[in-house]
Amino acid sequence: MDETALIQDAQRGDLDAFNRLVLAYQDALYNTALRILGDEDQAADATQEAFISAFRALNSYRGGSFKAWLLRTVTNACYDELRRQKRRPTTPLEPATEDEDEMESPRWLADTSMSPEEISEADELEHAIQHCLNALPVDFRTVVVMADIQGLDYTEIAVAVRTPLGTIKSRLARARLRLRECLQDFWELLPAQFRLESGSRA
Amino acid sequence: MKQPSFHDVALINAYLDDALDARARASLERRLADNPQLDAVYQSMRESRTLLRRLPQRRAPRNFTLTPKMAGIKPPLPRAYPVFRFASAIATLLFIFTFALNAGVPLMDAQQVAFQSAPAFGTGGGPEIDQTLAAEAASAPEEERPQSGGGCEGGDCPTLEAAIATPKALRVQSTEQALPPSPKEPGLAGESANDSQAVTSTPSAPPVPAAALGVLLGAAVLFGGAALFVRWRADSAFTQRLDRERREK
Repeated sequence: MDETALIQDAQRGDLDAFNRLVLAYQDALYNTALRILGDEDQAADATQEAFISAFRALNSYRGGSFKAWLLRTVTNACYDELRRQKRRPTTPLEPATEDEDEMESPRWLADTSMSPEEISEADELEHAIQHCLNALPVDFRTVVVMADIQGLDYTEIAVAVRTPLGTIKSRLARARLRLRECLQDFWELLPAQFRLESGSRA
Repeated sequence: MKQPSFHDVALINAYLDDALDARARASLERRLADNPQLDAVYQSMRESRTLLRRLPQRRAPRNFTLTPKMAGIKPPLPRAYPVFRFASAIATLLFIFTFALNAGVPLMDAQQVAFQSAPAFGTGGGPEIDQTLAAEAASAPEEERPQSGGGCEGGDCPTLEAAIATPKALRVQSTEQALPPSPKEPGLAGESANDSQAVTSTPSAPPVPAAALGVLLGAAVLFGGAALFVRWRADSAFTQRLDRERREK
């Protein structure tokens, strides 16, 4: 895929060229939105909004990492969604017990095709990480998602979130520090395969 | 576990991301080897980072490709569309103009009749005055009418007869002055007062351009329908072309 040629065609209004770029990057944008928002439906909406905004603002793209530029649009869409949630907070759907108390875990919504152990093992890591990501301030969350989930370097993150490089480094360090502390609480619950052997350096 | 300083955390962070120069890197590696607590922090941060990187990547639940409607792209207008649009506008204007003209015709007729009757009133009465006088004469009670041979004696009767005859005389005279001669008028002049109303009816209005109105209305409908049809054809062709190109790719 000649990304530069597709971008140029898309800038001239070629929607098919842009849609080929969409197919190439939709997983990255969706996963970024999912980790920032923590909700699949909202992540899908934010991803769609991001691609629409990206097509309309495509002429403002002046080169550099196109992925970082796209991630900026999805980050903005996520910020909009979070602001909307703040204005109109919603109550999660929780079933009530016989005593009219809400259950902490709605097991009646779970997929019954898997055993509880399998569900637990499959989702444990993801839930634990998502829980810790959700506990981070959104600016920290965005930076750590871009660095450690999307694999962007510092410069690309600075472009994506329009923040100075020094601030990116600082936010990333604080975010990883908080994540480390949060994940300590789940360490015993994590599968052994995710425990790394000490001693090897980066 | 002792919390490291933020400076140390930032250094470890940069070390994890391979963002330190060779000198800083060597210095930190020496500190990590000498300081088990700092090394423990490094290990836990490294494991956390590795966990994040191993987080399963979800596939997008659907394709987020844009449709022309989502992208706000409108199909190009057909070449003939401006012609149809112009013709539709002209037909609409003509229709409104004709409608306004048609609505204004009765008012113009009334003004014309008033203009014709005003000078005739001063010179012996117009058709409307004739009708009034004739109606009064016809409805007058019999006892009020002067009887011939009754109360008239000598030279008084001719005066009364002249008085009775005055409405008719006035009517005939004024009718002849006010209206152009018509084939029916000579015969009607000596008839009764009721017949005189037919003679003194208002002039007929100019013919209403119903045919022209129909033609214009038809043209407006035709051009409007043609414009809509052409636009629909262009939209369909545009959508089909996009689908065909998408299938080919």
